[in-house]
Amino acid sequence: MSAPAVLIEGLRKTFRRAAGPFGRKQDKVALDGIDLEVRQGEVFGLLGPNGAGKTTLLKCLCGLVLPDAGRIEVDGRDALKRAAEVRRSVGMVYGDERSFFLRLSLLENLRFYASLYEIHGARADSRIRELLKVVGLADVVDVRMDGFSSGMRQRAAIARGLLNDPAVIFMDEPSRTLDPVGAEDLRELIHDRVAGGRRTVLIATNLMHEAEALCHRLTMIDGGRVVMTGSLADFRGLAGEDAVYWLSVNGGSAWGDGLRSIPGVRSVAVEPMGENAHRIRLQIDRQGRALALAIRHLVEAGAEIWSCTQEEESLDKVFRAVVQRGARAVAAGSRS
Amino acid sequence: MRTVAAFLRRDLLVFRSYRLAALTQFAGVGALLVMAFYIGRALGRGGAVPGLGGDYISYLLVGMAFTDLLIACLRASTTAIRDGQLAGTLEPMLLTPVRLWQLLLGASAFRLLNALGRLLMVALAAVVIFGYWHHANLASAALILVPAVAVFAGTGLVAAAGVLVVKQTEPLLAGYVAVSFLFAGAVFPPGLLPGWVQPVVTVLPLTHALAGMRLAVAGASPAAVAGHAWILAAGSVVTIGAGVLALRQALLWARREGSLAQY
Repeated sequence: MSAPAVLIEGLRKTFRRAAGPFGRKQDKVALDGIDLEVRQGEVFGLLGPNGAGKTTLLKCLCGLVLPDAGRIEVDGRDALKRAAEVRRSVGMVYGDERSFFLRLSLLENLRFYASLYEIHGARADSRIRELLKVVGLADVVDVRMDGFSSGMRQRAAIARGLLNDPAVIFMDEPSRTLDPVGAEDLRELIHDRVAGGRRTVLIATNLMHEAEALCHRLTMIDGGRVVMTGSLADFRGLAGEDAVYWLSVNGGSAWGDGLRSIPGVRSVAVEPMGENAHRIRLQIDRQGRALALAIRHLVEAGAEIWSCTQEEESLDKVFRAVVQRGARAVAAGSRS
Repeated sequence: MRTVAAFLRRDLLVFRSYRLAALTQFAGVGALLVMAFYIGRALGRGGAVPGLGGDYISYLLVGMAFTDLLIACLRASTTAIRDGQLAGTLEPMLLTPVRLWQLLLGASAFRLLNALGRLLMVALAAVVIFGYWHHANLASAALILVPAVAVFAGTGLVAAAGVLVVKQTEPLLAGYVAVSFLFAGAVFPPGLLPGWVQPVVTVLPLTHALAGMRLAVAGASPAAVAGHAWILAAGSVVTIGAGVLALRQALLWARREGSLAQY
């Protein structure tokens, strides 16, 4: 088995912060003994609420923050002792819109950053144009960046993060400043064009659905500690036994009581949506066949089903479930 | 060198994008020259100013132009870091293999060249319009200029370290600049100042830079300016040494505190 792309052992970091200009300094534990292993080529999610320690962890990985204790290896190198070498083989994408020289064009910005990676001249231009095609910004290459939308800046940040063709790329809440459509486009870009091959992606997010859309495995951290590491299925399994579906239906009659009598259906709530149209909230046992039976029942009752969507499990709900179960490690955990 | 060239190109493009600011800078040089011209007319050529030992306009031009250059050296590193913090570009730059000293050198280069350009404009005007400095000794001027730039750049490194730690060092720098400008002989001979101020005058690097440069533009030999040059060279060893140490410690401190990008 190949060496992990990222290996973290016993990582600790405590900040001393004053409560005001003249306030007493207090210790804030940001990372409290983090152990983690990210495999080569995988998209790994770092999930947690705001203030959980995600950004601090990423900054430790790329040398911007020095930990108090612990060991970090990135791409097989000791990130604390050989930080300069590690910086050559990693990329970082911030969720922060700032970080570019907004008076310069996209091409000028990327040329500048390329030169800091010692990529110059025609080689730099060729690499930049190739990356701008990947991120869909090839047609604005000469446009000044102060005219860019948040989504365009985020795509530009991804292009910058890929300039040195990194073996490992860190992404810190890349969709933070984007609207839902922009965020979805960005996720597609990361999924289709950034991940894959031998490149490892470590993405910090507080959005469960983002992690679900992108990641092979996840670690949930809170209060600087790993609460759980596992696959998406492991996390879903802990979210609760029930799933909630929303169905929009038109027509049919007398299907309400029949729905309630289906084995595995916990509750049914019906809201009128207009003449003969309804919206149904169906809470069912996620392990059984209740959804299939409910759909069949509706069709046989003459109802036309317009849509059927599963209610998003909120991060809070999953998080609470994980904490309540005290699950610190599950199958396919970081050490498996 | 290619890294420095990349910074130069970046800063030139940014400078060009602020057209009004660029024009204002040239206007500033023009205003200095116009002011010098009319002060010259008011005083008459060779106007007698006590303790001057020469023409006041030449004295003023050296004082203003070289002070401008040396203050630019002083502020270059702090401005580079502060601008990076405010624009959010400092961390992305430090994430690349570029070292902090390369970053500071690169980000300072355009400011220094820009200030040097202003100095050359004043020097050209002094020679062509005012008819001064025809006998300037360029070797002597270089003997003063190099350590003077070094001593101010070194002080700037100490201030840049301060920016990494406390973020705002501008009030201290502004105070230092004001004291230097007032006491070092930028616009009037420091010998006119009261006796109790003279120790301050003596320890200010700008005093020696301006005194040495005035001798150089008057045609003094390198041996004649060597005293000032030695003082500046010794000062540069101290300030650059202190600056490098302070910067290294400040970077370590900021990485421990996680405050590199804070402003």
